[in-house]
Amino acid sequence: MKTFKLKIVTPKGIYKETDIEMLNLRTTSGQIGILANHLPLASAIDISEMNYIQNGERYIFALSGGFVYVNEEETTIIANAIESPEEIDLRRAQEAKQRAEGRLKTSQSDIDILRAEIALKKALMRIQVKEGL
Amino acid sequence: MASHMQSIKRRIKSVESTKKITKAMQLVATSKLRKTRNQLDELKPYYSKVQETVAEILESNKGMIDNPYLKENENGKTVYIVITSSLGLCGGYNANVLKTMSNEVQDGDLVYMIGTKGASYLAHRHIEYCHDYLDLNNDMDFKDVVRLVNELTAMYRKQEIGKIKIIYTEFVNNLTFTPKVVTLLPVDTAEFENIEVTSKYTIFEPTPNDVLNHLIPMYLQSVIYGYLVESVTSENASRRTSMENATDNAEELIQDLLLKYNQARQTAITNEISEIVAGANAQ
Repeated sequence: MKTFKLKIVTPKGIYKETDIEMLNLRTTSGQIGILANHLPLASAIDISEMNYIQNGERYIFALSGGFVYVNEEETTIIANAIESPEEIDLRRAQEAKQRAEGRLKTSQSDIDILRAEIALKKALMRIQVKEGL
Repeated sequence: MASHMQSIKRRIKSVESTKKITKAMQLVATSKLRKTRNQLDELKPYYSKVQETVAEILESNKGMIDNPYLKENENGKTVYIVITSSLGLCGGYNANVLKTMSNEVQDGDLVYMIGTKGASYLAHRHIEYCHDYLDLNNDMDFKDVVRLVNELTAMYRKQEIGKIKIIYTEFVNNLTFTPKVVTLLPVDTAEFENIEVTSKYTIFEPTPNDVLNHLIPMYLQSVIYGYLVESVTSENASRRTSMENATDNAEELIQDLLLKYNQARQTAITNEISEIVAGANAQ
């Protein structure tokens, strides 16, 4: 299968730079799959699970939102945080989930609720990626 | 004579203990500088990639996007994010930033102060400022930067503020750092001119406007974080240089004082001998 270059950058530096066959991720407007020779594309990514296929094997990651940009040379994912299942701290994610749930029940202001919702979404996604292993 | 020698000796001791402090500060600053420089290097790819992407999108949609982040709100006040240090003994680092700030900031503008040195400067002059992010230069937590950006962009979209600017210290090299003022919002397309557009037919999912609404806060986060790390790097470099100079000066001073002390000692001995000889001769 034809491969293309994927580059994942985070504030902590380049997370990964590798050649892959297929990239699956969920943008704000829905799930998309990217193969080699894709048309240039720019889109925001939801807080979601992301995976790519390399040499026939699927690698899964937890992505805390970000941005994808495809052009002729390479596909770039700009993420605030990304983790492979091995890197996820399950206990921390579960604690974050409980904290967010607690906050959702007690919070009054819209901003607090919105923040708690985002935190809950991230925690749930991490748990899902970790347990899907 | 003896009291003169005593006072020189006391001064040598005090200079020596000062030298110990400056020497220790120098070593600490050197190791911190190495750490923040690495961080700065790691950040570069992220930061330049985000900027590149924003530039490409803006360039390929020139004049077609009616986005709130690209327009200046004329009635609102300007928000300044000012990065200073929390520790002293770093040469002219804070003074330079604060001088730039007092030249730039007008009455009624809002200041978001990072670093306690700048905060005490403003408090002393009874100027109001936002102190929610004072410790950002110590912990350098990306989450706090995200929080700051969310707060500012919400204010910007509600048209409460007209412009967002940042005052930081550019790190040129280990010896040169210059305070700089940069406009963050509205996004200044003129800044990106050197970046060329690789593709004119990009698909924007769902629309260019939505993509920009998402990307610009990310852009701000990365830029502010980048400037923060750069300023802290400058701070450590500045501290290292000034502490190095202080240690050298202390060394020189000790040499001078030691010479004086030995001279005084010699004079005292000579005096004593000549007194004894004179006494012996008189008998």
